[in-house]
Amino acid sequence: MRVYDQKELYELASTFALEEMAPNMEKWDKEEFIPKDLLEKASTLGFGKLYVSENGGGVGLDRETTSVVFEALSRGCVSTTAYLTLHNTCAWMVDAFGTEAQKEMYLEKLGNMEYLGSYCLTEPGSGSDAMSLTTTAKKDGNKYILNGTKVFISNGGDSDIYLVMARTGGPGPKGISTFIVPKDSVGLSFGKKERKVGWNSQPTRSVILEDCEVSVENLLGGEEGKGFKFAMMGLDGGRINIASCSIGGADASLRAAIEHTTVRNQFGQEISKFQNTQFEIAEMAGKLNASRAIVRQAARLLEAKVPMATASCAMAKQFATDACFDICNRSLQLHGGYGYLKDYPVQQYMRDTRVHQILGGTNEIMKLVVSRSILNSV
Amino acid sequence: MGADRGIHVEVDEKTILEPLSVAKLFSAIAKKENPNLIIMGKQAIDDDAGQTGQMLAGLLDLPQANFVSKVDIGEDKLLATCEIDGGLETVECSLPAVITTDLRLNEPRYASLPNIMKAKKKPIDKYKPSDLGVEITKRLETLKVAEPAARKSGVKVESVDELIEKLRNEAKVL
Repeated sequence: MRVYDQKELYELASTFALEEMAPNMEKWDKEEFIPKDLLEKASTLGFGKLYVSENGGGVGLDRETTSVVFEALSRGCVSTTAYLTLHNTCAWMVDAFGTEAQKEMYLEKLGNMEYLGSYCLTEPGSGSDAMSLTTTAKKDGNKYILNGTKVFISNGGDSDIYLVMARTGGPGPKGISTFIVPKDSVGLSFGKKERKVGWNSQPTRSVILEDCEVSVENLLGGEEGKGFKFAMMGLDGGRINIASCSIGGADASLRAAIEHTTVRNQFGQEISKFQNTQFEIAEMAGKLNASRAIVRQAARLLEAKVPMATASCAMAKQFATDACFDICNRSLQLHGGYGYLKDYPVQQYMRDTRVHQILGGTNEIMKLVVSRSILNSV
Repeated sequence: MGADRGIHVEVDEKTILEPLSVAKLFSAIAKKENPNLIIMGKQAIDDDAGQTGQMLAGLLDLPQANFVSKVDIGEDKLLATCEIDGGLETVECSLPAVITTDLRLNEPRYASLPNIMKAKKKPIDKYKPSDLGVEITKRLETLKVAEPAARKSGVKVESVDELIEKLRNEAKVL
């Protein structure tokens, strides 16, 4: 999409973020919920199906433009936007990999956020070592019986549709399949709501499968053994999205720091007059723009489906989430004592972006992905 | 929010378009399109003229309601609340009509992403003033622009008598 058009979408998403989300982000963090009418407004604007194809009823944006939109929305609330990105991943997976019948059944409602989605890969025993997951799915006539536990599931317990990665075959990635598990399935239950440092507007729970019955119709794509590949492809985009959320949060934090330092007076002048403040702001701006560049480039490579796309997404995610958490943290410091108060938003951007260095694949795993890509090609 | 199609009347970048020229162009288009309702802004932010809608109604011989902050549109007539200097005026017009709008008329909705994407594919017909048979030469010349005289500072009086004396002899309002 042309830059001129991306700007228009950025303006729309920023206006939405600053008018509908930013005034409420403190409340959503404190009371730990996202109001239904916010999600409804977001869905009528198409924010639930940004990169679902036009054929699938989605907005059909390319990955770079999607990144720009998520960055803009994150200025209003990182936690809520991050959930939107996870929902978008679920909708995209059904669009990209689902059978016609599955798309017929679920895609429109996922696109409109009538159904909310959760992505279930991580288990207590398999986080970074995702492919060692032990949730099983045994075929029994026209059903699969799933057993296992998924942990740290965003919107777990509140979502309508769970995309669950489970083992249908042997060990390793090729034995994994993806299932569309509706909320009312027999044998599906949820753990307690986790108490988190950030990402508080969305609930996080374990998803527990005890002889959970899933129709054979709900094997994503109708083929066993593809689950890991689907999950990883979902993650590539997911990494761009999460990095974009970090960028939006860092952008908001930098703006807050600029405002505060031009207003706060000590030693007879605005603290923005001190060289340390100036150097800090310059470094933060540099890191912010470098993050944008690396994430958008990775998005273009992913869109072009080139072999190095996966490593680029990993590199961008690691760089941007680290850099942007640092920007939020530095902004907090520039606020002095006020930065530590919940009356000021910078601490929330800091807390919310902290987890981006961990989920979607830890930044350590990102480094493994990148280094393998480099060293294996030697 | 949004439209199904657009019409673009192209003029040279350097052209200065006066309200009457714009009204004539719209009048020519209205004769092609036969709209039931023409909605214009009450005044442009560059020249603040506040004339085009009124002139257009005149050219088309249509009823008009101006500075509209509320409107109810019926089958063949509309009821408009117009913001005037003294307060609010209610005007009823038969349709077709021209209205010029005040910002209090509505709160724009967000344009949805799918609609923004669709907008790029919608048709925009282009015309030149000559295609419409309209002359747009400038007829008005600005001779002078001046600020009103600055408000002079007041004077403190010592007594009521002095106040009355000044009001009678200096300000001449008594």
